[in-house]
Amino acid sequence: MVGFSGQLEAALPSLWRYAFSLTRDRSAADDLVQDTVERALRKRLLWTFGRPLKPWLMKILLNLYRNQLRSMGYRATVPLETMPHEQAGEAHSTAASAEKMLELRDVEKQIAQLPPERKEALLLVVVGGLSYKEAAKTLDIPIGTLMSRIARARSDLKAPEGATPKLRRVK
Amino acid sequence: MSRMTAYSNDVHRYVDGDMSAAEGEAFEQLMVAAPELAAQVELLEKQNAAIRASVEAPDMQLLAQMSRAAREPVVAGLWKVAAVLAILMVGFAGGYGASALSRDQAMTAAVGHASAAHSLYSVEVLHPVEVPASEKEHLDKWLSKRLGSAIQAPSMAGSDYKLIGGRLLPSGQRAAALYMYENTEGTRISLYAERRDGRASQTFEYDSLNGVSGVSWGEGEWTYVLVGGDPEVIKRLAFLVSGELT
Repeated sequence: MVGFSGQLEAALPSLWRYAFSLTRDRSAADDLVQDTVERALRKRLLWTFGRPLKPWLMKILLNLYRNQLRSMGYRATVPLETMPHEQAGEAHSTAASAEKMLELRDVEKQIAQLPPERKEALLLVVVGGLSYKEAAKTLDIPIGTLMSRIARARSDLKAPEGATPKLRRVK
Repeated sequence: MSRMTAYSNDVHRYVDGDMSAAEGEAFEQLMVAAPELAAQVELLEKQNAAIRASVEAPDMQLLAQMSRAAREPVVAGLWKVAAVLAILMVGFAGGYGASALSRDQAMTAAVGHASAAHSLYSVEVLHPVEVPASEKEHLDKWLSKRLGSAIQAPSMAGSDYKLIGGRLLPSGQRAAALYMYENTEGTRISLYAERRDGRASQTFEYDSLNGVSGVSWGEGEWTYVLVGGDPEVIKRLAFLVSGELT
């Protein structure tokens, strides 16, 4: 394990990609990473030597991103079609929609439509490159919750393109 | 329960690389017998690839600029706060964890001093040492004189750490020496040396306090503590250093 500066340098590309995947905007990603670095330097004393730095940096970045969303007056909403998956501990069958997956032309658009919690979790692992343990720590949630958010995000992504909100499981 | 449901978590863990090598192998064998699992894994891997492909690449020059800025000295005053905190933490910890109880007090004190001194000086940008490595001859002479016995700063040849220099430290009524080393990544480690009465245990003891790792051992009339950096690296370097000091 390397020291603060070394770890910071190594984490920057993943931080940027994560920021970009959240914002889909190059200059917004640049700014988020820059602000993260500044904040990390100011809070450097709170970092314990020898501890992995990347999850900590990701957490700073995520907080900055969330604050930005808030100040932009954005309100997190959960699309209706995701509601049927809300039951805790539900397993998600994915093979059935294999064909649909291959039609994933507009992955960008689909990610944008994910509920923020699921989007943040999935991208933290797939784009940010964190392990489940690190991602759970970054998001301050148990690993089980993280895994269910990731599983749900993935099954949301496999919904057919252009699907309209369905309330099929309401009985 | 279908196999799909039973292994739902494993599928995600597998594609996200969250399995140990053994778990991964076992799961691969399972997939041979369960094509529906293999299909699901393939699907998720394609999905991951599509997500990653949708993310643009950063401007590496810009990132390089940011990391250079991160290496610049930070507000000097902050380090004084850090130093005070480091000393307090050592004080509160009352030594070095549970293993300290079974160890002799001199060694425990040495480990506490070493860890406090390392926390205090390794973050120092302008004055991490009193005498720089460029004046090694003077450093060795001076510290030998002050500590009352010949001592030379080990070179740590064979590692990527290089001597920055050394300083004199108080240890109760006596003097101790602190040598600092840095690698190309900018990680610093310190070697603390103190003379002691009687023979020290030659056993290497590993400790970790507030995230600072340390390895201590005795050699002849000396007690040594190597602190800072990654635990595995410190353990390896301690053997290297002890070879040089014998």
